Amino acid sequence: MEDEKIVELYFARNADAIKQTAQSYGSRLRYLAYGIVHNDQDAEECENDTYLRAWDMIPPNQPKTYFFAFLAKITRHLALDRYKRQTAVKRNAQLVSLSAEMEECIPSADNVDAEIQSAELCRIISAFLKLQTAEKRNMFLRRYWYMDSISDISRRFAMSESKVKTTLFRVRNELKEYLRKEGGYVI
Amino acid sequence: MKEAEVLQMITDIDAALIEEAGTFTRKKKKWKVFLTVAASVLLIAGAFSGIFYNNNKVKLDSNGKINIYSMKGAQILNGNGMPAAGCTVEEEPLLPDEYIPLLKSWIKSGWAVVYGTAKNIKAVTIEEVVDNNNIVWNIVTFDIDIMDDLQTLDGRETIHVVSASLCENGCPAMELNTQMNEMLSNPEGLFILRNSTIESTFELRNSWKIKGKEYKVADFADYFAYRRYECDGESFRYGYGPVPLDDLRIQNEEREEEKQ
Repeated sequence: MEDEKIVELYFARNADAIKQTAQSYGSRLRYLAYGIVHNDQDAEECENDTYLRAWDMIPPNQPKTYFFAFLAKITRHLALDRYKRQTAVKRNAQLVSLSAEMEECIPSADNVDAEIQSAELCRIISAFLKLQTAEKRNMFLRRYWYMDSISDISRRFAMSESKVKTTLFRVRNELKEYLRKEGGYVI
Repeated sequence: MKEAEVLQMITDIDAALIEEAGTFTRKKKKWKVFLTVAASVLLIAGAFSGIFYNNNKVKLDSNGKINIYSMKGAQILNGNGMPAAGCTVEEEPLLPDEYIPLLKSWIKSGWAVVYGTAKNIKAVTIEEVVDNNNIVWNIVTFDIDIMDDLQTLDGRETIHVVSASLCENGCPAMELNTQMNEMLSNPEGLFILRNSTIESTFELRNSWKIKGKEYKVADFADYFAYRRYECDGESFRYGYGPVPLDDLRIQNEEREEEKQ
């Protein structure tokens, strides 16, 4: 079913909305969550919580154009929240490494505590990414938003792992410089 | 967990970008067209290399530089065999305080310092007897995918380089940095490169006579790889400890002053 029709079901408070959402995007949302929580059960709960959260948020939101992105943002937030709450600690090495790479170019959470500053940061990063080639932009997002491994990205972009690392390294440096110029962020 | 927070901060990136990345795959090349063009280029390149190098049986790669595998008497090396024993040199006994200004002065005179990843590594050894002396050449060519050029190469993304060592009767006559060998297991590193057209005043001569033929270093590559150091992108391991890469950056003003 098309996104627009699914969103209309939410507006009509029709429970089929959740079923249709799960059919269209369930596996992708679960995969995204699994990359963060590394646990089947937690990933499934994140997926289900995403549907409930979407049910509460539509209306008033009308994500007819980018419905998947709308859902994926919810899933990502939920999964990262769940990861933070985990006390029986087995730290996700991939997340630790991604976080360290990101901290090279964007200010750490300690320095950006207000939600509004985080929104501003996302605005500047989005503007920066729109200036990049499609390949660089999507490689960056696959790595730091979807949290894909280097080998997954290497397969997706049909290039060597070393080339992927090199490209990401350059984009991070360019982003760091862009944030300094456009947002006054000094890392 | 703290690491989740920095990643969470970028969750609300533009939805259009997230959608695009969700399904993005790189377009495959049109192989038929690509192969036709590539075959034509190879034929032309082959013809030119035949014209200029037929007599010496040395072939050129598509970048116009000598393919060392085609050199007379070349034996291909792989794995651990890159430089022969006795032809490597350990680190200079200079303190970083002395070495860094030296490197910076070289950069100002046309050397380049890049942090990058070595690929397409080719290595050969060539043995000969000259005036009753046993001569062993070890020659290595490779490309460096540049991650940080320290503003010495004006934004080039890849560079083709050559390195070499020479032993006479088992003693080093022209030395290869031991760390060059280690790039086989760890291709990342900081590379100190000498422009192959600059006149050399010491061991790294600008032309090499091998098996009776005179080669210019520039026939192999634009740069001669002089040293390689372990590097993590922030600092490199030199002798007594890590040295920040920023210590090697030449500011534009400094370059202008030097030109004047």
